[in-house]
Amino acid sequence: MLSSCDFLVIGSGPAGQKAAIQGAKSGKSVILLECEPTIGGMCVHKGTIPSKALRESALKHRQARELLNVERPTELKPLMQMVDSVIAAHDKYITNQLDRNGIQCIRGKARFENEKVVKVTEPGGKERLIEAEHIFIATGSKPRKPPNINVDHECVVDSDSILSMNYLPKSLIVLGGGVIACEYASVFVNLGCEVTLVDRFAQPLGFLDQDLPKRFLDVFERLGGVFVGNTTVVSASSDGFTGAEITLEDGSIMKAEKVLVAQGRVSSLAGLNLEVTGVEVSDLGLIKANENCQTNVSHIYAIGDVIGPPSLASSAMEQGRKAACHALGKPRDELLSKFIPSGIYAIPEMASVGMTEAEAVSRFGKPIIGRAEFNEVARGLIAGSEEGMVKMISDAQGDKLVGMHIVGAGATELIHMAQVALTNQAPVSSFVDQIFNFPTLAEAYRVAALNIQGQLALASTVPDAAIAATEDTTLPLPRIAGV
Amino acid sequence: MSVTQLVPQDDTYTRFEARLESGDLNLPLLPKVAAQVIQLTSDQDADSQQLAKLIQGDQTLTGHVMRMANSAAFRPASPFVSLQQATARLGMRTISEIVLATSLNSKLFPLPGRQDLLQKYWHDSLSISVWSREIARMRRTNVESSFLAGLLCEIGKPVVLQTLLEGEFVDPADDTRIDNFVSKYQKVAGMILVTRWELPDVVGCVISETAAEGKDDHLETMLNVEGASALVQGGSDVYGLSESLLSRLNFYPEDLETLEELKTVVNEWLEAVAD
Repeated sequence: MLSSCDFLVIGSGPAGQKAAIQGAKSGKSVILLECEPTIGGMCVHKGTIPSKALRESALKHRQARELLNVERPTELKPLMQMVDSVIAAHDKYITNQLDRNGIQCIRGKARFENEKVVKVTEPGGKERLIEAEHIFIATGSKPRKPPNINVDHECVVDSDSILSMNYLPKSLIVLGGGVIACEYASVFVNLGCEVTLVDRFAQPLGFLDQDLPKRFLDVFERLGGVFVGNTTVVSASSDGFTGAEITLEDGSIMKAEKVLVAQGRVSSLAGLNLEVTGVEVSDLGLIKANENCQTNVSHIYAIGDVIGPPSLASSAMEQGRKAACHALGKPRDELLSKFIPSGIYAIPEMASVGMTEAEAVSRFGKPIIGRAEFNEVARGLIAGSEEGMVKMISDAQGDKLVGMHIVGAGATELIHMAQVALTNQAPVSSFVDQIFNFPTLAEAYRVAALNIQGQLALASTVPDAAIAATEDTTLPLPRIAGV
Repeated sequence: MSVTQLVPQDDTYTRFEARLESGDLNLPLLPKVAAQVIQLTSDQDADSQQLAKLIQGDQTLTGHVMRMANSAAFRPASPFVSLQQATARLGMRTISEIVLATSLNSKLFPLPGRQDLLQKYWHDSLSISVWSREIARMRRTNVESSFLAGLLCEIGKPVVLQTLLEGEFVDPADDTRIDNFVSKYQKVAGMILVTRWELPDVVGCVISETAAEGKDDHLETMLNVEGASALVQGGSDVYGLSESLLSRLNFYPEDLETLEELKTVVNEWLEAVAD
């Protein structure tokens, strides 16, 4: 049986959903394929939503232990009680949205027969053929399986299986230094587990402005976590007795009840039979796509994790919309999609948009860095968010905002003010001119902006050497990067 | 679950149900070592070292562990000569599985005459447990719960058989009638045992095929065991699984190929642990 449609979207995660809806709203006939029983992709069922629900529980438990001397929890499932209801509600919302837009959802796995026709196999083996004018590959990613590590999903787990544990392990080794590794490491340390984070780099989260991972590690280690950097793991497996063990390159062995392998993700392209389409795939296994997410085969688009970083749900959604618009001949305003914030739901939360300090130094020579600690604003003190910090980066003149980096409670929400400011090219002074609610963490923006203005004022009256000499003694201290 | 809901149509059924409802059953005690293993797998504070000592004190169990360690299922580079070496090689979880599989065996029910049926029930349970474990692994769901629930999901069968024969409800040679009773009452009998042995919630959910309130997470384990049971009932014919079940398991043709490949692992495990 051969059916046809205008848009065939393979994968119903954030990228696929938005591409499908964009197409349907423009009057196109759209079929959305999903190989899992429910819509939403890994983001909803194995990743973003479940892990964030656990994070909320971890925060509450830590507060309860600190305030009420409550014992650490032993079971994992009760900590995730709200997950099922959140997923069900989200699933219902998305399904309704797809229905409203007349999108036909089909459960099955896709395999290209040729560049226009896809064979869909349902669980159990029933097959059908679908021909489409435009095809969007949004099959997402899955945990990378390093060849030297035996992931048995029992003692050695990955991010897909870690939440299947019934009981909280007493000890956990997390391999990796990326977002998933740091999020889970911080969640489990907040739940009272002995957590060791092992990574090959000197500091985790290397893609962020360096002040953020430093602050993250401070909090992680204060809670009892251990970070082992600059270390290569030779092997990891069940220890053959009570848990798991890893062997490091120097021959030393570390043991824990469980090992979480979070050493990156790889795109899920297996079974698509892309070879028959001529779509180019990079050496890293990512589909090559241009700025419109269009592959070298003009009617086939690739969106979301299959094209690699930033691998964020938010950027995937934007890619889905952008690709669909391009296919529809409706180019999107480039400015709209220029600044995409990163959010890391570790404890503490981190968020970032625009240039890092290192990038700004490389671009401007001496960018001006404005800082504000959360303990400088009333809301931060009230909320006990002392570890929080805002770092504002401007050009060398202290006028143009070029980057913002936030660590602490509410960081992933706060960052959007900077995103809007960057998008609208608002000057640093605009944060001084605004009246913010009191008490709020948003005041930290003003403190950081004032910090930049203070440095400008100081720089106009005092030589550089004098600024450097006073750098460590005054708080909040005017500081110029690179000085 | 009420016994009277289960279609009693003749006098024997009525009398048998009355026996079940009265609770006057000659139930076996949960072996101490099995109880400790269940505790170990469901209580993170259980002392695994103590359990190892317990195993060492049980000659039969030690023999099983040694045989298992040296079996094709684990393919040692050279034969193990000590229990310590074998336990270190197999791992505590595997040891736990062996202990459960060997202690919850057909000998729990000393029933002369129909040991053949008891043996079959035990072998089926063991097969279900190993398949449940592998299906759980494939589906990224909890491996330990699935093994335990799979092993005990048909524990009601020997209870029904024992009650039938001890009470002379049926002719011991009448396989058809025995099958009818067993299939009709095994869940009820299993649930009685779950209560008596204070087994974990998940086992009761799997036996009754009903997720307890607030225990939605058991649904995945229930599905794993259902898949395993269907495989065992179908003679491990992975391509004979129903479309509906495959849909719920979310198994595609390539997953069936994986299951087919796992047959060797499962069979080796079963051979190693078999009497």
